[in-house]
Amino acid sequence: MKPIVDTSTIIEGGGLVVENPISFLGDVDPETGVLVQPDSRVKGEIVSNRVLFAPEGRGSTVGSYIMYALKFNRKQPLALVMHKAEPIIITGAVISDIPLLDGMPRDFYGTPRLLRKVIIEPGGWVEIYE
Amino acid sequence: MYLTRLEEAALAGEYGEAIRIAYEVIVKVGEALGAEKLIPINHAHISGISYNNIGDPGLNFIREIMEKGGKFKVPTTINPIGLDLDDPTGIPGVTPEFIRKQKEIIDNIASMGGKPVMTCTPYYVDRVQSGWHLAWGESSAVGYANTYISAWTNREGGPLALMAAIAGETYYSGVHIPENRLPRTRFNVEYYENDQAVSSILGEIIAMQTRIKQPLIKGIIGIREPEVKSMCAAAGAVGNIEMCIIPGITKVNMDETRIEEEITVEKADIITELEKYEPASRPDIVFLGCPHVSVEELRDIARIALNHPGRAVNSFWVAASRSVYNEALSEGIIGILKKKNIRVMRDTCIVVSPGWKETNASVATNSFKTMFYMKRIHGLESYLASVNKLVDLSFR
Repeated sequence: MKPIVDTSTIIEGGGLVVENPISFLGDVDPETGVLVQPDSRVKGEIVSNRVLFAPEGRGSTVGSYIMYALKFNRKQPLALVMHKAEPIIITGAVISDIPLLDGMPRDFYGTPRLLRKVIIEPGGWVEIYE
Repeated sequence: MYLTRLEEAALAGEYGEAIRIAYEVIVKVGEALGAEKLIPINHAHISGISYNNIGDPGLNFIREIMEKGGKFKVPTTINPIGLDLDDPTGIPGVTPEFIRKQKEIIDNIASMGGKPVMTCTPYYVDRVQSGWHLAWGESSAVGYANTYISAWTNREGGPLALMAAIAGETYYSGVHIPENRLPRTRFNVEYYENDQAVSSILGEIIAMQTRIKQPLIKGIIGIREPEVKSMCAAAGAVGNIEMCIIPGITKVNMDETRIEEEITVEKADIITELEKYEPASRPDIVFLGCPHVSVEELRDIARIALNHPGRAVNSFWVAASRSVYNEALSEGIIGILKKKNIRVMRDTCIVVSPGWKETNASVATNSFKTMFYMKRIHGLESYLASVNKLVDLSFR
């Protein structure tokens, strides 16, 4: 995977796979870290302290500030793994120092689900245990 | 991406934390978009500074980047906010807390060197020149800059424009590259008249039909500055169009050999749209000034108002930047309009101001962009007409 904002340490935790493109403005509650995306089948799950998988970004550029608010409220995801990152998410990841990787095949996002364990190493190495 | 030695040093944090963050954002976004280098900018314009829009998360970030030593390297202007700072009356959702937080955002921007003139028309505040590279984050201003001034800017997100103001540079991609400014779709417009309602309908049609950018617009020779402004605003709001090419106005290579699509806009296309949105009765609110008016437009509105014996019996509002307002005040135009019960607002616009959802006001405007967003964001009944028609409906 291509690290856009690389991690300096090894990350280990559970994972959440969201099936739709994500807009942090409107799709994630910055106070609680709960996914509130209306049409997602994993709506109601928390993104906090998990590796968040979403295929793409979309929507308002205010989304970058919402990622920053999640970090400020200590509700941020451990890392973001995307099919294709775009400017709003990249900006948000940099200003919030949330590791961001892209290049995950799109098929991976077909089924929204929880992942038992995800390990991310510096340089873009990702291990996934379903 | 190729970086100079100075850019490498900035990215490594040698000039402080704020500059490091700014460079990291710009370089990483640029790399993701395939940019090969950075390019110096002459001016930045930051959108996304309305508290209504960015809330506490945006306020906190802007404060933190200021505290980390953020300073703007280039002249920087900012977008409208949710109220007129000198007269917040008439906007339903403005509370003391809202005003306090909005002022804090502006103070932080000002202490980084931004001009506290809140407007979507930075080009009436600072003289922007043809050929300048800019990092602007307001779609209507982006369209105007590329189309009317022939300055070069992509449509940046609010946070990215903030970072570019600090770095004094942005990534080299999109319409900063000459090849991406060539016409690829040709519009042949068969009906046009100089009226902002008409030109903004044309902007909507252009946005709906352009599949390959950039659009070349033929048949509107003689279009004036206010009409170009409204057209670009509508095209930017409806379809993310960052430039139009208008023969006689836009300075680009008029090489038409790369045109892949040809579209005819007939008289009926425009008239049908105009009729669809026409107000039948007096609206509760008339809103002019999207984008903010120039002094010339204020003079035109005053002339039309003076031609009518009556005065407005609804809320008749015109929005302008603080600098245009002050100029018009010294010319006596603000006073003339006041006598006609027309209010000129500074710093704000109805679209970015809070609390409209809870009202059931009807709004009429001469700007397709305002009509589009008052429906979409605030859920209000909205109409479009010329200033003459709006005066006729509103005056008694």
